[in-house]
Amino acid sequence: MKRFFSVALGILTAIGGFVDIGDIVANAETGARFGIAHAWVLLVGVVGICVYAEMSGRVTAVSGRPVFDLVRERLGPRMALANLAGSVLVTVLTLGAELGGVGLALQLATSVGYLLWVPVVAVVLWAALWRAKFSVLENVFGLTGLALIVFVVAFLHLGPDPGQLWQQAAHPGPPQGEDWGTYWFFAIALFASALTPYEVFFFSSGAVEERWTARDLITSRINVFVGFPLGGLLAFALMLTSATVFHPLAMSVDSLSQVAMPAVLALGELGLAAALLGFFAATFGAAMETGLSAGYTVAQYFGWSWGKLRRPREAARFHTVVLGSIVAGVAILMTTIDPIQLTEYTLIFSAVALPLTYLPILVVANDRGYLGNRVNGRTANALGIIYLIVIVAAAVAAVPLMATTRMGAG
Amino acid sequence: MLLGFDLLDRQIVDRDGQPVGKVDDVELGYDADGVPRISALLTGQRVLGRRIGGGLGRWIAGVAHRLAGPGDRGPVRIGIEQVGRIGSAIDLTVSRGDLPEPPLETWLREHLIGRIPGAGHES
Amino acid sequence: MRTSRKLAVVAAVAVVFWAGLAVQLSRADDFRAYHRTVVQVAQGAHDAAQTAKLTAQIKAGHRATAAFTQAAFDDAAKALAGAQKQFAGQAPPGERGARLRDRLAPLLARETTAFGDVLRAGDDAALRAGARELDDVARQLNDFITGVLTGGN
Repeated sequence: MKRFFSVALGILTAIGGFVDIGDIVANAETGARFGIAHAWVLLVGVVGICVYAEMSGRVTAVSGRPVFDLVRERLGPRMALANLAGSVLVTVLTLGAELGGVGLALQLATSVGYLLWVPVVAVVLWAALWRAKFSVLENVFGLTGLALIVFVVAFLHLGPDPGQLWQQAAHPGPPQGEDWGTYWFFAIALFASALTPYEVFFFSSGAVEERWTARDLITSRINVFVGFPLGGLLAFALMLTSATVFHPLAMSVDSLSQVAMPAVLALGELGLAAALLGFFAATFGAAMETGLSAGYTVAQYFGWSWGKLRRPREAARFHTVVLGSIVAGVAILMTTIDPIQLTEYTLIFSAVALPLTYLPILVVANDRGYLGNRVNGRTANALGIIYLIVIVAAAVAAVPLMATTRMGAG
Repeated sequence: MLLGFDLLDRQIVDRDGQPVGKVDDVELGYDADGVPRISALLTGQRVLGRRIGGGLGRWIAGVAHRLAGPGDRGPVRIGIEQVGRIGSAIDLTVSRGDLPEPPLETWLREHLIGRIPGAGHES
Repeated sequence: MRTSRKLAVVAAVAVVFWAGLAVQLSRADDFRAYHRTVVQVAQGAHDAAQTAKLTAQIKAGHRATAAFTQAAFDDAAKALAGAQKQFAGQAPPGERGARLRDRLAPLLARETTAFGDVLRAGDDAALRAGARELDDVARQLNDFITGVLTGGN
């Protein structure tokens, strides 16, 4: 039974963590504009997050310390501080985007504007992080997020043309009317959406909260190698439905209502209800994870006591950071920036910040001081290094591509 | 023992596994033969700020100093005799309650977190 | 000192980059820039028309809640309004630009009318008729975009 519940941590990070507002937006947008010509990027992204999440799960299970806790020892206080600043900035931006996504999902369900929902959602989010039990949050949102399976069903219902989809997937590149600049811009956004940094912070810190030991290594690997591909499959379904419905119409997607449309067209009100429930659970779950992650990273840098298992008054600094990042996320949205646009910017910034997260993990996962004989094997290191090269290339190319393609507008 | 690699920036936990802080610096003393030895671990933002240096470091240290208030007893000092095992974290042989509490934690608990209902409940 | 110099370099690079971006974005006085704007406006209007069409079809088929179709129409209206604002905000730089404008303007006007008809449609038949009209406008906008992009202006 205990095994079963710890596997649920993987499901939560797979659904609430893998599919979040970034994946929803990036997959639907690329599907509409490029068909599934970016399918390989999603595959590369999923393998990447598996490789690095396995490393951070192993580091945590063996050493009993979350990855970010160890980063400062290896990078030194200055480098680690710069790293912390970049990570927290991206995490808080992501939190803002997730809150906006929750607001938009509620708007679609109730027709009350999302900006009116945002403060309400923020208070509920804070209360959940303040009082609710970790395992309850985990299971509720993990299981509810599975409602996104509706996009798999919708895809099958829509009567797609497999030949044409295969044609798109097998010939990566821009279709007519698009150029290579926008193709690569969206490739980077999609890649960043799969590898969002907060996922590994949350994954390893959550493992500490669940008190993993070396005996839980198997659980960690099941979580990663089953949970993340499952999340990736849901993300792929969003791309597929969008490619089936919008790509033939030569239209682009820039609102959450459009993302839900394929489910509505295929399955009617039931499809709509499932899609909105799935959006809500995925974005709210991710908002919890990003809020906690901001607290985790700061507390772990300074060595403060942290975590949901402690009484808030025994982790006052941690809870202050969590509260502060929720307030900052709300403040970002209150500038009335469109949440979908905020998500697009967040993805690009997180692409720039990716090396900050993943290089230290690779370094720590090779450290015999922490891992003994459980350090990276040859396969893990080969994959880790290949991915690091890809991550650095994406980080370097992100901003120039953003400027030359004007955020992908072409 | 390699100072930079084995001690500095490592997490300190008390005998119950509760986080105490990071080793932000160490204090060196000399034994009877004049050989330098580590006499204590130092933790707190003031020490950390000094190590980071520059304007940012001064700012971090300054905030910590102001928070400590008039009854300032300097950074938290953990004598080497209170240190137990050194693994992926440094285990102390004492409880967190026996050490002075970091001023920022005290201040935030008294002025913000402790005032919110439910702060004393485990979730 | 070292840190502050590094910071200065970073700041300088950021300023130069930002200035370059600003120059790049504000250099909108030639035909190519206008051409780009026209294509973007047509694309925005096209996407709005398609969205409104799909929403009208969903509404006519009673396949979604009123809250959802309302929100989807609002999103489409916002997209159309954005395209129109962008269109109005830039004067054509010359004769060629004016010709482009004169071809796009009637399509936008037609779309605005059709959109309005869909929004106030009282029954499913009217919704379907509106959806057909929007579909036609979207098709023409698409033809316009393809024509303009392949240089046949």
